[in-house]
Amino acid sequence: MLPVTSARLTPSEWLRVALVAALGGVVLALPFQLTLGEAVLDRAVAAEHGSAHGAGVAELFSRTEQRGGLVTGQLLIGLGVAFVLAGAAFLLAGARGAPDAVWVRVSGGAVWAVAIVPAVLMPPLPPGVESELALGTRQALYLAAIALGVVTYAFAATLLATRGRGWREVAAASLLVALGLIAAAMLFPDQGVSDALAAAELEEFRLVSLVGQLLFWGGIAIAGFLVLRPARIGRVV
Amino acid sequence: MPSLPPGAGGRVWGRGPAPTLPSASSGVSQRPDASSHLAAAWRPNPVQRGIVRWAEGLTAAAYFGFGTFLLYLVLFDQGQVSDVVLGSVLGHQNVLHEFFHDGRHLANAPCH
Repeated sequence: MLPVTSARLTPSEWLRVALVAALGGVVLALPFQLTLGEAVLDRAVAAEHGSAHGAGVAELFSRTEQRGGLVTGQLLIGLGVAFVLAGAAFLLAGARGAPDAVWVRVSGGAVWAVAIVPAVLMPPLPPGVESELALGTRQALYLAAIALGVVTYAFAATLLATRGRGWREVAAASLLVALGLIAAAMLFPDQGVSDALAAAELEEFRLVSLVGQLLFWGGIAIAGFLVLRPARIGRVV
Repeated sequence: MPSLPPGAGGRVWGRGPAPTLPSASSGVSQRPDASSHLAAAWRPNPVQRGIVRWAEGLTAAAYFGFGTFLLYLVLFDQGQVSDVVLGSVLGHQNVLHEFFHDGRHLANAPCH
């Protein structure tokens, strides 16, 4: 049990909570990514090597080593996300708000801004599927999609905090966020992907990618909430 | 270190020895409960509160910055950092991009 007893947590207390939560997210997502995710990636890499573009290209790491890279990378992503969320939770929490409620708001925002919005505006591309856009442009668009997710989530949260949380307010906030997302989808350029992979394979990869991210971020949200729950109980009693 | 009242968040406020309650049976210092008048004595002065808030805000910002840098290395680096750090050993081969290849694709980070 973490020694969390006060309503207002210090940055290091937030970090401890976030590290445990991130570990929960990794534990939930990694088995899925190593089984279903890697199976789809293996097929995509095989198709890439069989294509004119990828034929004869020497890889720096074998597929087994890249699986190790997936595990290492996922653990490092979890570590990085823990530090980011701990900093964000402290800076956004202020002096008010139960820690578990703050955590749900922050990690819920991350699910929306990092997993869902980019998946809608910039759907992931598997290996072998090329885009007409330059890599730097796609990276900038990906970050823009995350920024848009943060802005829309903050807008909705502010609206609900100031206008109340009745069904009309929730419906209005959801509608405004959806309209913002639709407008952004029309403004974002098409990635112009090549047809190196069958459409069904591309859709399967995108689904696997999204589910893996939802498991990761959902695991973080739930694990953090469970870690912080005793703090609320201890404070109330 | 004297014991802290509930809600102190693990920090020692104020100067001098902290107030404690003597135990009736053993004489060992006990933690004052929240209802005790001693709990009110734990309020920091405005200067101390400002310094602590500033230091905590800086720490939180440093956490945010470090986490962002870590995520950049795993999800975005295309040799800008890895070639500088590892280039003399491994050559300019975009090592991080190749090693974290699968994770980047599954995390929806633009990879190629």
